[in-house]
Amino acid sequence: MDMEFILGKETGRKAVFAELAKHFMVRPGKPRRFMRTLFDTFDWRLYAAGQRVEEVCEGDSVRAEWLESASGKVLGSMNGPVGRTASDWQPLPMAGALARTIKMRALLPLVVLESTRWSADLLDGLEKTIVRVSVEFNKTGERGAKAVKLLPPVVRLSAVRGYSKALKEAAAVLAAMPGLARAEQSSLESVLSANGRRPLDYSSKINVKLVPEEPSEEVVRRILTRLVEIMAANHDGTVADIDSEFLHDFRVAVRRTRSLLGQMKAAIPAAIMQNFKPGFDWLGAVTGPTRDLDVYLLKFDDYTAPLGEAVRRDLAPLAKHILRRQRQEQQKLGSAISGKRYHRLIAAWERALRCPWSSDAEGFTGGDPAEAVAGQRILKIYKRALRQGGALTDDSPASAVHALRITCKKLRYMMEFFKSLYPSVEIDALTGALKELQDNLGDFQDYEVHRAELYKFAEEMTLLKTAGPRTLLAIGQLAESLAARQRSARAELGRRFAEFTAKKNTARFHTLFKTSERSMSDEGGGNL
Amino acid sequence: MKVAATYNIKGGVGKTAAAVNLSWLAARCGLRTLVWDLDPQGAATFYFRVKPKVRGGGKKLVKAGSRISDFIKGTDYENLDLMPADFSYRNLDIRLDQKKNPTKQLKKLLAPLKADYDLVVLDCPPSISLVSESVFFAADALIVPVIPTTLSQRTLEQLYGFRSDRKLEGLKLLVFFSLVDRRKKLHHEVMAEIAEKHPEVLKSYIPNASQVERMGVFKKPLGDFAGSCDAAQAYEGLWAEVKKALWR
Repeated sequence: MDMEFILGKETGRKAVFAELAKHFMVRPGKPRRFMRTLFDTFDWRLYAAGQRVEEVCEGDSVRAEWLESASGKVLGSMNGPVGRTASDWQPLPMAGALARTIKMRALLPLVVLESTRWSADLLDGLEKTIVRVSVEFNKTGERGAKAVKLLPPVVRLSAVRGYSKALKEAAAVLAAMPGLARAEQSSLESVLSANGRRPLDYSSKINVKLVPEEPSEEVVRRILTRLVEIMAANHDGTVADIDSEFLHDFRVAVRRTRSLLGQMKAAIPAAIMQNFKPGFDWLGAVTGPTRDLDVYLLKFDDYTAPLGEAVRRDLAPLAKHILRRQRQEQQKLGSAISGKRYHRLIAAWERALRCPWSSDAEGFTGGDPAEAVAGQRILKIYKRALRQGGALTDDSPASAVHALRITCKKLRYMMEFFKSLYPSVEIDALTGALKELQDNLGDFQDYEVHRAELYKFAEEMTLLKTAGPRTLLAIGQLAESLAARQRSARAELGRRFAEFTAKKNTARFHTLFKTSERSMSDEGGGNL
Repeated sequence: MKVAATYNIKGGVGKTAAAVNLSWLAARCGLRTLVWDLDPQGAATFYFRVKPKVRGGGKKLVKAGSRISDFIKGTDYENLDLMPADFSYRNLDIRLDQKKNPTKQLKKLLAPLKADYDLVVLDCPPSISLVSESVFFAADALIVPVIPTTLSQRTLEQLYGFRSDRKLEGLKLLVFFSLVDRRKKLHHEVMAEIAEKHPEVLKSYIPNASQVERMGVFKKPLGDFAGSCDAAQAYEGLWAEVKKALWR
């Protein structure tokens, strides 16, 4: 564990080392000047895990370090610049460990620190280091800008494993020293706040706090406003193709928008639907092909893992082909959402969301309380899922399973939109149960689509002459393997569906959402 | 986490120098590395300036519920920790023998360290004993220094035989030549003979150099005080081969 103190203006660094020398044998080190760039993913995955990545430039050397923030413990490091994704950190074994934290996300530069560090080791009787001490002077700024903000100098004691007693003794010496104060914030927090960066300032979650009596149209507008914010936050990263999660979050926000427009259409004026629904349908269509290929690439290693090394080698041209197709589709997507149609759609949509919606049309429920409208709608979709799932037999076509998947997705979105209206323990339990079923349905559909696409890829590669007979045979093996996995997902579906529709869950659904249905009919509303 | 043990039935072949220098190189290239000095003589512990003392000794270490992480010490180097030697390790065989499945004990002790280290280097005492058998079960690879002499050649064959008898084919043997005197014709002949019989023998070899002996004077890994000497360069070459073999 590191301990940090702030060095007062009137206290010099030499005084710190001199004070420690009264109690310990001190071996001074050479002063170092270096530049550090801090990295995290767009959604702060490292920060949330209590970690950070730094790129340290000192003289001619560049080094990437992955650290535990509180203790300063090095979790992994490598010579050279920071790898953009976890796989770029190979061949070191830490790539896998880093991937567990950041998954498919890219590391992006946050802020730059220009540091001068004086350090020393505190030694025991064997002249062995037992505590590391440093006094650090830092300037900071955004990457690309000149580092201009001065941070207060930091005195840091770094523990050496197995010598915690010595660390406590050194900390006591510094704590008793005038002109030194224990740091209230970690140095990471200070650097971020000096640059106006607020950790965890992005989330793809809806997080809109609703009030049960709030009119439905207002609630719908607030949720849609949040969704367009998520689209805006992910737009540039999607165009630049920084990592696949930008498009994922962007596309999910589009899908949620389309789903909410569909599910709550009675609370939305017809003119709004006419003006904007086609635009979001278009956005859904233009984002689809790239996302499908992204998913293929993300799952490729998992799909090919059971096939053995020789087959995996033969499939290398297929991976290249999918990547090339992804790049082609990404270019089309980038042009589409950089163009006028997109910007006009979003600007008009943001304007439309600012003003209250009203309508004289018969059946308009925009003025009805949100809880009642939402509850009734959720229960209706739930019942549809029960019907669709209950009607599935061993002979049902894949399209019937897909239809259940779509219904479950709509149900999940609605439960997430209106989550804040219900007791979190209850709604979280239902969402968790639904997620178990959705995972199975999602796997089944991915195998179905990806297996079908293999034939398309094989045809394209044959035309392009990029697949020899070995690769084509390997594609056949992969198709068979996906079919086997699809069969086991299908075999698992019955159990998952039974769990989801177990008595306790059905009772929960009715208790949670029927109250709203009743209160709605008590007030004489209800046109859904 | 990979576990590699520097091992030879014979003593004085450069096991500890290999353990210390290879682990230092591993840590320098960013791997979180632990050296466990299993030799009661405590030479690796001495090189890292740590007291050769484990509180409670080997007895406490193999006791049920004991956590090895409580005994680990940081060294002077980033990413490099040491599990010190203790004189009581001379009785480690007896301690292990008192346990159920004695040869699995070391592996069990190492398991909780998986999240903390990328590489564990076990510096083993010479001879074949219960401790070394435990090492064989715990390790992914044995790093075996061999002096190119007839006797060493014989003990190397014993080791290959032992691995085969115990059905430990999954255990990699990373054999390299150590204390090589390039002026000696015999060394050249034996190296050629062993390499012909075991083509998997590593290409890098460590020369018999006074700088390696000076590690005891400086109490430091070779790379920290004479990084550009021939022997230090040889260890770098050896580390590159070992790393490749471990993470292949």
